[in-house]
Amino acid sequence: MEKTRILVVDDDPKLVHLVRQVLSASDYDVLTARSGDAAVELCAGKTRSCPAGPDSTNGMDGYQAARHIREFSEVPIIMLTARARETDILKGFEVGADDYITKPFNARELLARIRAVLNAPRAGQPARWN
Amino acid sequence: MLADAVREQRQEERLRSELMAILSHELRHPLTAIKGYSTALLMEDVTFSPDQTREFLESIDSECDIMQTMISEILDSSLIDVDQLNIQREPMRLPQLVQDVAAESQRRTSLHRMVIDFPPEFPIVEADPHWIRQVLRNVLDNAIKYSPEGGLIVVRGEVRPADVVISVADQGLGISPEDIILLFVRYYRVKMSNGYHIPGTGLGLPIARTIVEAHGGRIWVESKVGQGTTLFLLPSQDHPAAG
Repeated sequence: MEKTRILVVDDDPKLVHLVRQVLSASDYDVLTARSGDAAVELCAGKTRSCPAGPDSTNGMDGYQAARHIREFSEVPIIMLTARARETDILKGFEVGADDYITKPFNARELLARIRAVLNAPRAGQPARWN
Repeated sequence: MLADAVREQRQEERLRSELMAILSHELRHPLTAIKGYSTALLMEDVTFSPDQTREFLESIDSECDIMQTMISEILDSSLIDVDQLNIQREPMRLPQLVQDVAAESQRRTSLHRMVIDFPPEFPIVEADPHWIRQVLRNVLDNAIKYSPEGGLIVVRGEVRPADVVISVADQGLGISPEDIILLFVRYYRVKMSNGYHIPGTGLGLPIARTIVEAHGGRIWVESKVGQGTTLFLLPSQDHPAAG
């Protein structure tokens, strides 16, 4: 079976490295990007899921990138961010994120949430009840 | 008078809220790595190679050091705030102290190489070893942090008629002229154009300056963007060639 591809985006190379290691070990095919702009470009290609951090300092931040991606793609997006205030979380969902995880995060929880998002029915598709 | 008091209070409130912002944002960075790597290692259904496991543990260790430095800086800064910077001078050998601190820093990095260059007849200076050690730590810590690709860090001692100069030069990112003036302002953080997040409280150099000035010395920075940053500090020499 073909591996699920996940794009990891953050301006902090250390964080990208950490998430890449965890996802690769869990048998995902991992792509990485260091900026919102690069993430949007890659998503316009062929990706399956885009955890995006809104802390990016180059060009678009995570929220803007998520909003752009939503213009052309229904790909699941998980925000993984240090912004833990309620308004930030609500903003994440407003721009089209499917889930929102705050730093510091638990690797097990990240994987569980990725699985949940990948298994959830997408908009426009009927939910599977059996 | 009242206006001064109000201004002072506002300034204090601003500093306090900046400190809170540092605590929540900057401490979250190392904490994210520590939590992320440790929970990854605890996963039962995923196996990592021995090399990966070692790398994760090394990351946890170095991020703990980063947090430790931040916490010490915040504590030092609060001591300085309440005027508890108690300088106890004693005759001390700077080259020995530099050796110690450089060895300590060397253990925290495999990308950098510390080079110490002191003339053989270096005078004994009257200073507080605890606080001068702190200055060296902060300056070396900056040299490491702002040269993320690694390289040489040269700590040089120079003897002049009325004082001694210690310089710390790295082969790092350098610093722009507009940032140089602000380096000694509390909580100021240099923004990296390449998107690198350099962890820190923005307190290291301001603390170093307070300590050096309390010794009657001076600290400054000479640098160009893209060229090695050099930091000089200058504790005054009270007893030339003593001992």
